Amino acid sequence: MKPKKDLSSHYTQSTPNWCPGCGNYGIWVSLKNALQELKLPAHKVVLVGDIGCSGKLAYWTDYNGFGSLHGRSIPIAEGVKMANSDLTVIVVGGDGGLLGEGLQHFLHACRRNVNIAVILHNNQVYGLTTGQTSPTSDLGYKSSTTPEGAYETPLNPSLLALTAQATFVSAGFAGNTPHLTQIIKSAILHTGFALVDIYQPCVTYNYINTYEYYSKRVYDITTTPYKPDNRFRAMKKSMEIEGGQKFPIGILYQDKSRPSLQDNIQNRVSPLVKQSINNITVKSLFEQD
Amino acid sequence: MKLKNEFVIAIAGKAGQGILSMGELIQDICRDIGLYSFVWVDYPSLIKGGHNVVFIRISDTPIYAPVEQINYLITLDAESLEIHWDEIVKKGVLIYDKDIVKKEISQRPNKTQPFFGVGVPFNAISRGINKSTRYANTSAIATLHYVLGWELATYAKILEKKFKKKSQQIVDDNISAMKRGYEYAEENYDSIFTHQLNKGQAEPYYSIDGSQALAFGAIKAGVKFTAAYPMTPATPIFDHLASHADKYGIIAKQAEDEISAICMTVGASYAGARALTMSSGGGFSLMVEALGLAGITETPLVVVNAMRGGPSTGLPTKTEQSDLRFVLHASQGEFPRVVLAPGDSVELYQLIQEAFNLADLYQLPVIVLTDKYLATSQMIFPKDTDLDAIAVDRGILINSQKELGGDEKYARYLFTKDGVSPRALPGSNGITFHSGSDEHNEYGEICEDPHNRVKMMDKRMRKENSMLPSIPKPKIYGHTNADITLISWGSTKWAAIEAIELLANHNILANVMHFNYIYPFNISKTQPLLDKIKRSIIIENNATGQFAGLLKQYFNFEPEHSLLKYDGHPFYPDEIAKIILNQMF
Repeated sequence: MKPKKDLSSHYTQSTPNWCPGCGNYGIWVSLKNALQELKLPAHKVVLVGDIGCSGKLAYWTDYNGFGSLHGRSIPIAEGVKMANSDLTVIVVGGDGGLLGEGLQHFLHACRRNVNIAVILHNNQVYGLTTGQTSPTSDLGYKSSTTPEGAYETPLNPSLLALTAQATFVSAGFAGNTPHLTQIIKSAILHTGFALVDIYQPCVTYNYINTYEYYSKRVYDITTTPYKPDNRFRAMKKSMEIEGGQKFPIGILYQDKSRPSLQDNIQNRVSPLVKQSINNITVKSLFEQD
Repeated sequence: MKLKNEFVIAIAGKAGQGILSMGELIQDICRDIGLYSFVWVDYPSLIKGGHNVVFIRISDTPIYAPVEQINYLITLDAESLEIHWDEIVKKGVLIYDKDIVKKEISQRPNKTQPFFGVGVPFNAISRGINKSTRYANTSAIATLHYVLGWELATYAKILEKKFKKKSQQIVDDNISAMKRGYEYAEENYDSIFTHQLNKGQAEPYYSIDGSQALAFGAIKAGVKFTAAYPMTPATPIFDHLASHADKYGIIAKQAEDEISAICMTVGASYAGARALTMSSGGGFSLMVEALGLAGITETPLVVVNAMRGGPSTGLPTKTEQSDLRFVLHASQGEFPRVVLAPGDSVELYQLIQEAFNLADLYQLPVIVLTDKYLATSQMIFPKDTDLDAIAVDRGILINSQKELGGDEKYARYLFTKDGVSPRALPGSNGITFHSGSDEHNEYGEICEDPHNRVKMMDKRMRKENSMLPSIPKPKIYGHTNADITLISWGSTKWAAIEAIELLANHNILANVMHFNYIYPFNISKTQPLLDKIKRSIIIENNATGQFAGLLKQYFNFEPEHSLLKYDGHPFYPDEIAKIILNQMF
């Protein structure tokens, strides 16, 4: 088996082709830095990408990548993790896929406390399909599908996750990569479902929620007396964004006490992919029925 | 039409009255005394009330299909008697509770009532034992014993075995109810045995339903992960896997919807576990996009679609074979797939194992079609079946960079002659790779190059051809040189086979050509068999002759007649034979 070495033509996307200045670059760099700092062997990491600009990130690192379906990255990641708990499984997706098409999976993964990290590239717009309104677009956001402006109030991802009892809820800013790197590291290290909601400017379609907009409004909660150990306070904190003036970044909430899905499962069965399946006997099943 | 030395017991009443347990109990008794049995059910989509029937066909020769007759009816409510009054055969027997059926029932058959009546106060007997009606069914089965001329010894033994775990009191109460139900009938009714079967004739067998057969086969094949969302009639497969999950190291995860179920399954399979999801047509409809994901990422995937009457909610608890065309074409774009349709308990057990092997060997989705009839019928599974006949074959797996040699970059989608690229699992030492739903090059990188596109499509589609050695031709049952051939696929197998026995009584030499490998066809092995057919009729549980259409498309073969049934019920052998006699001769 000797594959040709020179397959990459201009048709092949082996490096990012996001727009210059895209917030995805900041997230890409932060994620790679986080993984490197954690010294995880590349073959033991799987990035599951959603569909959209953000999801393509899964193709563009030296870690394993699985490009999935729009909205379905979370259940696929859950399947990977359940089959091989030795893998570090990370979802990369946008607000459209994770909160629109696949919102149900997002909520159920929270309550399931499955041990995956979800990197939410929240740019409040459908970029790849040319700028339509997303579930987190601000009220009044005008786009080709909402020429009169969006009527629906935006979803609040952190608040949603807290409502569904996620055990790690955090926020970051694509324009602050050193901070974001540390948040992503903490999310990966957390045992259980971890959300990193990232304020990500879309330089092509979203002229409101820009780098400048966020730079003026984000603040690191570790510079305040806030402690991420109370779910009710975390909900209140997460609601600060709803005024559009203050965007707390950092770990809003972490609960290390609740067992993860893997904790519950691995008490019963060893990692699935490590079990031999060659000589299974089933006669007793026939006998008992 | 003459039937075998056999009869059918029907137990009818409301859901929640314990009808299914009564059926199982009678089947256990049959097995112990050496008679063959086949049990099927008919019920509406509700939890309590409604009209439910379990049918137990009993014979001293092997039987594998339902028949449309009632020799003995045990009715647990008045309504059931009205529904089935006309179905009880002449000189059949009605067993009823005198206090519940107020209608005047005669002991002997007469003009308006062609069957015997045996009324026993089952509920009163039960109340006399422990002030509740919980033992009424026990008395009813005992009365059936008197009517059939069966001794109570086996029944007593089974009751003891069944209830010992609960308490001795419950065993004793059951035995009392049994004795009184028998004695009351004996004291008040003449013996009216209409059937004498040769007990002890049956070869040892297990009675399992189709859902069990599939679940056991999947466990044998090494299924380690399953995810599903509840939907009749697929759910029992998941329930069986879940109940044995601890023992066999399986994760059985109920998902938030069918989309999640199939996506989890794809994820688990990509990671390397043998994984299964299942649903009925409605849930399968939701799974369709992810089916294509398995197709383009070349992830092995096994999906069971337990069909029911459609479209939409349709007939939730009735049977149909109407999703064949749908599963064949489900999901956008073109990719190779396999469709299997087992015909009985042994085929269910074995073909689900083949499904896992084919999925692994050729890295594609395999869809196994069953239906409500197969899923819920308790079938004979001969004890001498070799349970280990099918070995696990996972295809070409690369476990580490070392196996690749040197610093060669691993190509997940390497162009190969047979279209199958050596597969690595995430976590393999030193190997990382990309997979995805986008069209890609050999390395799994997104690639829209037109030449690569054609090569990659051709590579995937080649697998349909390279798997042909693994695809057998249809099986012929009966004479190879018959005058008339009944073409059947999936669950209609045994109704067709029994029909040829009935036709033999009319000096008609018929055989059955049964397909359980539905797609892809092994055309070169199958065409000669079709060419040999003299006269033919195709039998399908759908309205449009979906399989007949495939025969026309792939073989330019048109059956002379087609027998289509879509009233929610399975085929009966005598119904098939009658139509052949009436329409073809």
